[in-house]
Amino acid sequence: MVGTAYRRPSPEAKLFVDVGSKVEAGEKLLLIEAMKTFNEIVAPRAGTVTAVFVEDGQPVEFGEPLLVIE
Amino acid sequence: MFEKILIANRGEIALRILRAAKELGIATVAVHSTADADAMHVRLADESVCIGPPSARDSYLNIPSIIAACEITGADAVHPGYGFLSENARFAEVLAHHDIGFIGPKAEHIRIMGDKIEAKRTAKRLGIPCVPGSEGGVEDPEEAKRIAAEIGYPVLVKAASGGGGRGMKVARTEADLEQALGMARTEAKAAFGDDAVYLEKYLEKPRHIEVQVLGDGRGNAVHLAERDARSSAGHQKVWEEGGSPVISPETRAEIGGICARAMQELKYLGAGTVEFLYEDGRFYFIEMNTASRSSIRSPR
Repeated sequence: MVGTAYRRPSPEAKLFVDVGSKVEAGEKLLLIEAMKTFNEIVAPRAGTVTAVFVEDGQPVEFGEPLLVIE
Repeated sequence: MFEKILIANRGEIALRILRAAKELGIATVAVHSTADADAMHVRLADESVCIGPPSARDSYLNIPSIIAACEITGADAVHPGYGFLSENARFAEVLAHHDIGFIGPKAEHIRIMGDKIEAKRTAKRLGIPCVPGSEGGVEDPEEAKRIAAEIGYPVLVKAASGGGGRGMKVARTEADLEQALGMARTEAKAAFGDDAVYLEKYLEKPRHIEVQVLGDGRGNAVHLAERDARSSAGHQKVWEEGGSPVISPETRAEIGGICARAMQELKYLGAGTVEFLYEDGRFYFIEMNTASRSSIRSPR
């Protein structure tokens, strides 16, 4: 989806995940905001985050890789 | 003047808009589906945003994606080009709601002219001569017969949400009318999602003449003369001639003036095409396209 990616639930909060985080399926990874609506991006499966390609507040386009879970 | 525009289209029209923007010193944002990532309009724009997968419905027709693309690039207006969302009143409204400009006619006028019954009503009110027909939609076969008797056969049953030569059925006698009505309604529902139909007198061999208009949205409007269109079977235009061979300068001025004055009263914004049937020296309004259609048929 197209929008602005946020790595924290709010500006003062901790990051949802970072490189090295272990995640469960369905766990929140990022928010993408478009048209004042925040969309939760969740982990499709359990694993470990090995790479993050976006920064907090970065615009993203359709098809853009966000992070890698192994 | 806008500082940055997003072009919600692709291909040759996106390129022409890009060139115009460049000449005017306006920054440009191209949008594209994954299939068009290497297209020329993407390469030549100042910025680009991928808005969806290959299907038009999920990309070039995807309103939320396009709005989001405006947000992340800071575009202050959208140029919709032609086709796609250029004549979509809802798109124009959503953009207005988000304080993003829409480079085209006002949403209200797109909506009025998109409904062929409402368009005729408005045209009549503005003093534009219309094809004789029913006042509004027709549902009941008995009412249809009564109206058809007044207009005189043959009559045409037309879809209110149609246009562009689609959704029309001829009834030559009263015996044909009920069936024509039923078929037209069924087809209209399937093709346009709306089975509302109306009646018009059927002209056997009219010329199809359209007048180009241009308005500034504040009550100033002009006509830019007419085009004479020839159609194939199926009512699809195969060519248009700028400057009809059968129209005298006086007639041009007269019908052009009627259209310009109507657009002034509407406070019409942008380009538009007022379409007429012309038979035995008389003009009959059939519909208006809230766009400049000449660009589709005669790329320069």
